[in-house]
Amino acid sequence: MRGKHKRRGLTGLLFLLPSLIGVCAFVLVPFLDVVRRSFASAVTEEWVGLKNYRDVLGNEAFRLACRNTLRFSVICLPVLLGLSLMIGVALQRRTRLGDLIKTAFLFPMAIPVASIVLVWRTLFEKQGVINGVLHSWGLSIVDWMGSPTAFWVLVGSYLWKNLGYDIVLWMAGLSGISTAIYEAARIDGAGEWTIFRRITLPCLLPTLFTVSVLSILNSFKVFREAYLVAGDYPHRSMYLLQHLFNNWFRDLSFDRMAAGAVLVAIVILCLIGLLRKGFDRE
Amino acid sequence: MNGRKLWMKHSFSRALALLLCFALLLAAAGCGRGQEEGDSSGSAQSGGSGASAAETGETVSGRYVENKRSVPDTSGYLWSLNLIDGVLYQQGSEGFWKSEDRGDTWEPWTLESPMADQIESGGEGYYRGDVIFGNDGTRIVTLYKSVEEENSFYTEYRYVVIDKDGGERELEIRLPVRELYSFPGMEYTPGPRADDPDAYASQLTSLLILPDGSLAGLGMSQTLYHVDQNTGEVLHTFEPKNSSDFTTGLAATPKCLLLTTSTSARLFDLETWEEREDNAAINEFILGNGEVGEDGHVRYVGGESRRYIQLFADGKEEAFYFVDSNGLYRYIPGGVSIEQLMEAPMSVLTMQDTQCMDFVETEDHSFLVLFQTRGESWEDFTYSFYSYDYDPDAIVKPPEELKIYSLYPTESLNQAIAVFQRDHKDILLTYESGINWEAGTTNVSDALRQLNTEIMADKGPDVLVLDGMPIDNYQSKGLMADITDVVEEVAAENDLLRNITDVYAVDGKIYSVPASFMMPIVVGDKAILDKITGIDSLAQTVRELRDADREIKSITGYRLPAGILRATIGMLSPGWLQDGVVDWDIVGSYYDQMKIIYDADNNTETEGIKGAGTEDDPMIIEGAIYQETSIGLGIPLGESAIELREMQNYKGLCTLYGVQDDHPEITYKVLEDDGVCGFDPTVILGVNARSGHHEEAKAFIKMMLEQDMQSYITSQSDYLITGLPVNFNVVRNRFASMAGKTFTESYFSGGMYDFTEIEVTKRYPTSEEVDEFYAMTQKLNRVSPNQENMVNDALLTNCAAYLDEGVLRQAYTREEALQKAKDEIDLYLAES
Repeated sequence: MRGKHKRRGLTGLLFLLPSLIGVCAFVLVPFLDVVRRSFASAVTEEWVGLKNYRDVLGNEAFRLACRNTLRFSVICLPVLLGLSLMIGVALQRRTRLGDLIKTAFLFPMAIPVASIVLVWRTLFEKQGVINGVLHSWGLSIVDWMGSPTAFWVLVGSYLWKNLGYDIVLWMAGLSGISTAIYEAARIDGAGEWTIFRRITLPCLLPTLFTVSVLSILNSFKVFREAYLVAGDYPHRSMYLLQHLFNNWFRDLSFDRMAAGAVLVAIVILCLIGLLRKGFDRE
Repeated sequence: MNGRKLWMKHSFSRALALLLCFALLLAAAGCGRGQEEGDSSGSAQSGGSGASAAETGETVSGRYVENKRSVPDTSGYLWSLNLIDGVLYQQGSEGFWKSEDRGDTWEPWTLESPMADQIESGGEGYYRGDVIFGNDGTRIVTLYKSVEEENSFYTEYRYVVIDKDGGERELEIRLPVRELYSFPGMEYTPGPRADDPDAYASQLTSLLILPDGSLAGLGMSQTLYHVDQNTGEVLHTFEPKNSSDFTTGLAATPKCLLLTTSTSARLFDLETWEEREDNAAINEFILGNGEVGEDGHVRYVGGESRRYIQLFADGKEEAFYFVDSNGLYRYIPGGVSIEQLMEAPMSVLTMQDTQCMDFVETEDHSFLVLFQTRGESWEDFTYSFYSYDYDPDAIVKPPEELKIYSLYPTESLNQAIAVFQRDHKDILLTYESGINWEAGTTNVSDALRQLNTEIMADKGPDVLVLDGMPIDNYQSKGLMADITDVVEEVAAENDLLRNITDVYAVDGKIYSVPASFMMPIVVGDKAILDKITGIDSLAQTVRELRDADREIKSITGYRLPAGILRATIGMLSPGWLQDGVVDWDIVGSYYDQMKIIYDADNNTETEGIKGAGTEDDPMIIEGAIYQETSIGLGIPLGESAIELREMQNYKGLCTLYGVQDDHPEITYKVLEDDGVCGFDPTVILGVNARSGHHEEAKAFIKMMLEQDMQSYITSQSDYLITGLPVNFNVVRNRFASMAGKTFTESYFSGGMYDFTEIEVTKRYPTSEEVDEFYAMTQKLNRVSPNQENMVNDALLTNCAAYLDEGVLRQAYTREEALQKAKDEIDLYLAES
């Protein structure tokens, strides 16, 4: 029996091996090199101890980017998770129209970034469509991308693009909940809100973990649109960590970039660990 | 499922998994090798020339060596070259030049043709066109005029034949009337005279004088005509095979005529005038990886797109030559293959913005080639002339490589590379520019990131031309090697402007050295210049000058924001940036002064010229008097009250002193703000500290600072932005033998369609005046913010948006412009 278990374990490992080799070669080993570089100077690669970490933590741009990234995540994630859950639950009940609306919500994911950027520019440039409409209504125009409104444009873009994906994830979770539980609850006299709170939400907790992690990771991808629209130096409110890393790369500041990357990796790992722990406890 | 079936299923799964793993490994290995091969091919390289070899590690010798020659001194177009009895004739829009030393020197040459002169001045509206040279000494002068006819236009041609003894006669060529109304690649639409039996067409393009004296040329319908030179009678006619076909070349050898089109090649026997069938090799070469579809258009498969192939032949040898971006090829009529004589990656042919204009073969089988290099706009071009001589001792591909990199394409580096390559045959020089407009690489940040990736992978360049790059950052990161010894060595034997060469020195060590620079100056009445001591007094003076004269077109010589800002950015007080913190009051004050100057410049009662051109092309609308070498010319012509200029070419001193001779009150001085004189270093050189070829890289920089190369890179052309030399011996030597002598040049003043020609007398400066110029260069003490891309973009772009809301799409108020600049610059500075 033990031999069979051992053999099954070995087989499992063999199946894992190709992807493990890939992850090691393309993620873990490079990351270890990044950790090494975070303790060295950029070009000469001399040992500098914690200097890069001190520089990064004391860097005003890094702090601004962290603040913006955190603010972006804190605002976007709850809104995205809540909104997509509500729409997901609503769509689950309307099976006829549900598929069509779900497809409509997924549509933004199929649009290439270049096209989204073009639309952004057409809409939000100082002499763009929205300002044209505002002007025709006699209202004062807004410098959408050159003022704090740029942040909200970014938030809107992220929500618009990721809503459909999260809805699909939620709906996958919802379809796993047995209808018998709902029926039993209704027979016992439970209202819709109680059913949602006592049955739907607890049953969706495993899905919540997946959706949360994927949403966090997707929140980093919004940089592409921001960069293509506003370049290296967008308005301060939408200056994200990726802008900073991108610019450090341009300026050959590999030392700071490595230290910053390690810090961000630690934060993300801690965050995912905490989420995991929280969900495990539940 | 029984055991056997299960076992078979598992075995199949394992075999499939193994196969997939093997395929993955194979693909990975293939990718790796492909990457290496891709790397070795490089991009945008230049240097010598060579054939394919050296892949086995053996040293193979024998290749064509590229040498730069001179081009005639002209601002016009150049096109055809002809080599007749050892004399090289160059034809251009401003006349002819001839060279008896294979293009080392050129002198103007005039083609005497009283008959052509008579037709031109006969009042019928004829202009001179091309002159066609025959190998037997015959020349045909073409004259043309446009004829308007019921809302349609056609061109009428006349031909004057000058035989080898100088005798002249007019040749009347009568082509079918449909040629009047035909256009290449378009359907024929009959015009008003299509049915007139007396009407005929006369326009033949790509005209050739064939070895037997007859003529060949193309009608507008792309039909090939063979014409008798004595009678003008059409002897043979060859219709195009496909109406959508576009002819790309027509050339003749003693026995054959080759017509190339976008889809095929047609080879004709000149004795029988029959089309030959043995042209498979040339057809295949022209099509490359393309296929002709049923509609006659070519479709390209795979990655390669259409190549721009040019055909040449001089009618003396039985060989056709082709030039494309991959190299130089030879085709012997009837041959089964095309022979590649030279590979482009080792020559100027590879430069994507450079086009071969004409090509001749000498008696010793060298090649002389005229190139045109395009700039950012269509009318922005320069010419260069190269010879290609076969050197049996030249190593085809040296085992070592010295990489030179610049962010922007720098034409002057090509010659430096060719010269260095001649003296260092054991190392292959390659040149790459990060920004390549033709290839669509236009983003500076992306180019820098790509460069950094290569540097960190130890595949980076050895010599960096740092213009537009974050120099201070590279130096502080330890990327740049110490090159103090190189500068000291050159300085020991030359009069180097140390205030320029040492401007990037840190703790007495030089890591980056400018090879040239631009000096902001102001030209005008001495009484006016005395008032200008800083940016405030400049703005005040400009305003007073406008108040005093409401009619003058411009006060400073500029009407568009970009010019004013570029000329004055060096005056921005040094206090604006201290220890990484910007004093926005100083920047705001600069914006205010710029606004005063700009408004004064544009507040004129003269009919505005603004809007006639574009933001990028003020030269067109402000006239050629604002060429780099025409300093001071606008003031006596009434174009401007003073001139703000960035002095980019020391030849401008000749114009300035010529003007001063007639107007002694006009003088010039460096633009300064309370003793601070900003300048623009150009061709800033440094050695990559991670380079494995430090000595060779330093030797290259040394050569760039020495007199010969300095003389070249700062005086290639009067019309090219080059910069002043940091080796002042160049200026002294240039003017020493000519001191005080005068000469005249023609200029055109005014708009594109409304201009007047003026003759200007210029004078070479005396040694005292050269000393005066030297003293001015010594005042320069600070690098202008122009050199810092991020800061420069933020400062100038936003200020330009503030100055003229009508010109730019993004218009800002003062506060908006300052805030936007502040956001960008503060972020940039915060990152460091």
